[in-house]
Amino acid sequence: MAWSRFIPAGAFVILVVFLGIGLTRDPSLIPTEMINRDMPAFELTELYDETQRVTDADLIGEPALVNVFGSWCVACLQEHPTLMQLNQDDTVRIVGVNWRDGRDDAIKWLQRHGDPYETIIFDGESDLAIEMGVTGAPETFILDRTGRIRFKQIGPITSDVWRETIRPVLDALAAEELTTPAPVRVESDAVVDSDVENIVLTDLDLIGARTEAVSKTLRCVVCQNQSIYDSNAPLAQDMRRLVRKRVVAGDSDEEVRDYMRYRYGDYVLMSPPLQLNTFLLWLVPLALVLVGGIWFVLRGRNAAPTVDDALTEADRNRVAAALAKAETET
Amino acid sequence: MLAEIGQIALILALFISALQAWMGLHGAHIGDRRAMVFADRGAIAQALLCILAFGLLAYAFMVSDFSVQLVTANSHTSKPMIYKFSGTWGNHEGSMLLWVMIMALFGAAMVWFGKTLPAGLRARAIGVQGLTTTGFLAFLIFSSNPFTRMSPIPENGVGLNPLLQDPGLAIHPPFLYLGYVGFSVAFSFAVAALIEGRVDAMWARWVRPWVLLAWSFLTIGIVLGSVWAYYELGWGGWWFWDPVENVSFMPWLAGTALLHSTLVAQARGSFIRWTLLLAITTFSLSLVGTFIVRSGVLTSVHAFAVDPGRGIFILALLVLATGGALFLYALRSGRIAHGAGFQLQSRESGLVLNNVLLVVSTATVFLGTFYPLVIDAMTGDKITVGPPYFERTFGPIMAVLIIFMAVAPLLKWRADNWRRIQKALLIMLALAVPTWIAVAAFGNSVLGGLGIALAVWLLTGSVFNYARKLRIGDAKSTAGNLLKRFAILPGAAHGFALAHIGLALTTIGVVSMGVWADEEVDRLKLGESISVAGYEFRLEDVRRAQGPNYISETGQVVIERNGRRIGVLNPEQRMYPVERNNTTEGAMEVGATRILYAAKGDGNLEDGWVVSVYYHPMVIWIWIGALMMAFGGLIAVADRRHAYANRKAPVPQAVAAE
Repeated sequence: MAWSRFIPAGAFVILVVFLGIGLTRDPSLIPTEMINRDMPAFELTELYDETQRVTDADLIGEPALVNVFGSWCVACLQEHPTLMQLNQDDTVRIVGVNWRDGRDDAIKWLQRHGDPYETIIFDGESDLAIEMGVTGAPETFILDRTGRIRFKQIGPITSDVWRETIRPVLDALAAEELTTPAPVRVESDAVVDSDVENIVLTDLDLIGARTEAVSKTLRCVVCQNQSIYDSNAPLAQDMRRLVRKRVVAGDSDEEVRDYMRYRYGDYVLMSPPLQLNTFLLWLVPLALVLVGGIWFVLRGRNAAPTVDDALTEADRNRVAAALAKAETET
Repeated sequence: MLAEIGQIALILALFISALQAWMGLHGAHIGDRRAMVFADRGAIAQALLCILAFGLLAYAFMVSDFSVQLVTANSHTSKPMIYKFSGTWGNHEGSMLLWVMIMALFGAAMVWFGKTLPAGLRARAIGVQGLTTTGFLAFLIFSSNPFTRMSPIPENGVGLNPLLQDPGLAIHPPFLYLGYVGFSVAFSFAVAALIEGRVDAMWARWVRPWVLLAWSFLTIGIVLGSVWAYYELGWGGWWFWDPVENVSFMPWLAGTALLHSTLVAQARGSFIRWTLLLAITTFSLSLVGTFIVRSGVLTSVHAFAVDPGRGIFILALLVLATGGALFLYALRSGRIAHGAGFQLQSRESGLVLNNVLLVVSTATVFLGTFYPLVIDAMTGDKITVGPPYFERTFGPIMAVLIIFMAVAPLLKWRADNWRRIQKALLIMLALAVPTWIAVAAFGNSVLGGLGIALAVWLLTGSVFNYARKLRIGDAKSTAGNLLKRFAILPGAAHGFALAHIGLALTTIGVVSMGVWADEEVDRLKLGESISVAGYEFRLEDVRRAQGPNYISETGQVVIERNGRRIGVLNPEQRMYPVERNNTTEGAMEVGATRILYAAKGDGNLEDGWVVSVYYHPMVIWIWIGALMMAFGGLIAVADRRHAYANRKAPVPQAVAAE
């Protein structure tokens, strides 16, 4: 079987191809699940005025950049001048989502660096962020005028990014606008979790245990290989809180996982689900064991008799003599 | 000035290494003795130059020479001296220099300890070692130069990641690299043998001590990493199936298969081709590991420099080294003769099964680690593979391996019958099955009971074998000459017993932690307590203090059980102002049957502090067992029969009893 000797080399070549492709990819870039879905329903407060409510209905009517930022975010400073310029030129509507921040800190930051936002949604506890599948700041979502998410930019919008990535999308949306009728603005009748909570579970121990169990199966998307149960990252804590809320509202474990998967994709599961693209993952070890076992048994069955290797009478005599000699010496 | 000397030393080493490769390989090809001697000398010269370069870099760190860019990026004057020194390899460039130095040292060791090898084989092996060292030196000099200067010279450095300022982590890389790079020797010997086209049992005998040495060091390196993660990361995990952990585990698994394979090759002359392939694969897995950590291809807590440019360079090295070796294997392995055959029920057969299972488990870990990459490349989907996958696939394979590894050593070479060892098997069953039932009943876990029963099975099997080797129970053996027989027994036999018993102990630890570990988290005000597994932890006090380069907030936690005071723990949180980073230092109460672990989180006087407490049964045996394995490997290296193999004069033939 001369060709079988080339199997290791062949397998290696395939591996190298994948490793090479891997170099061109960034494994931390999670594609957004929310493209072409409507902006999730939400009801939060405005940054400057706690009494003023902002809902998803306020975002409909005109294309917008929804920019997730925070005063703690260093890279946000990098894109801030671009956003200020866009606001000054009145190029596009910019809505801010102030994520995981303190109100005072954010207001001070904006006073110091400028405020390019038409409205700023205060999302102190990731209520909106998780709904949108946010994994870090800065991230910018492009909404069309019907309030549908059309694009997500991960990372700062430098002038290059604006020119090469964001503006083309907005231009395409503008072209689309010419051929479709304007949306009608409706009052948001979104049912928000914080208002209407169907409390199904009341047993605190059970809630705690189930939350823990489900949290261990969900990945922290801003960490390196930790579950949201193990991680201390703020987003992980917020996600744990959300898991608890879903558990209390009566979701099954699978439903909670699906909730997260809807927003973050399969990446958010610690153990890959059994579906088409992971079928191989579970099948190969089993197949290898079977192949190995069968090869082992067949080999044993086909083992040729090895009489030529057995000890001859002369050999046995030599051994006996040597042992006897050794005995008399000790 | 010194940094420039270091730089020059590396460049010189590069040239000498290239010459060493050429002289060794070409010299052996044309039979030029002087060229081969040059290769020997070159290997030693290169080792000395690399030691010099490394020493100079370490010196730059220790005196905080901030004109060297690397020192500025990774050090600070306020660091304790020991961490200034270990900071030398706490970064990409420095650790690469450590790698290269160890590689050169192993090359020199091949010269010193290989005096009795046939000249051609040795020259070729040293030549191949020179090739790989050249590749890595080139990588070091051209893409990861540790001696780059910077100007203007800053007042102080940026500091070292607080996580790395720890004794365990300081020595973890050197041992790990001794393991990874140690396998390069087996690789070099394998490629040399393929080039020669002639391999036999003697080759296996020469290679075996090198494999054992590298394997032992790698074991220690992995244990250090695990122990460090356990006490440093604040939640008592000891293994996470993180991609970088996996890439250290895969060479270990393949290395285990390799060292068993050389056993058969040495004893029976069979398995030669398989051994060659494993030797190539094990070192290649080390190379793949280097690639992964430094190229940003996979997400991991360990990821060093995320630099695709470097990734391409290492990938090229990988293609040349592994690809070259594997193609050579495909072309030349046909010339290698088969060894003696053997029956299904024999020791060889058991070792075949060992190899099959270890290779399958390596492949499984490999698949799980690289699957996200494959899927991303093919479909763009992002999935991740976490611990649940590895536990469900690796565990069962290991269980099967343990069952057979207790039995196979009891069989004879070539051909045997299991009925001959029936009595031993029955005794082993008689101990294992009741253990299963008892543990399953008291511990409320069928799988837990099975795990412990497997460990007992392995333990008794290994003890039986050891006893048999010591001829305990034989007609002429007495307690009196037991000591003598103990001393006469070859190192490999002691090593075998230590290693297999060590694995049994590790299994007990792993199963206990997986099944019976427990934890609780709560917010405690002063005086309040939290319980886990019958132990009560009470927070009595929280204080602030100043360390050498950090501020710490330490809690005082008293442990009681059934009213009796067990101990006091001081979990702390450290804030490093220079690096603006925090670490959690968990506190442990260590015992033979369990470790009690407490970690303190954020908090204040009014609301209390978040305290996590953990009950970890038998966890310390995981590491004790693994260290026994490493120790067993080292004892096997010291087997005096290896000295025989390296003697100048052949062992006198037995006198024919005519």
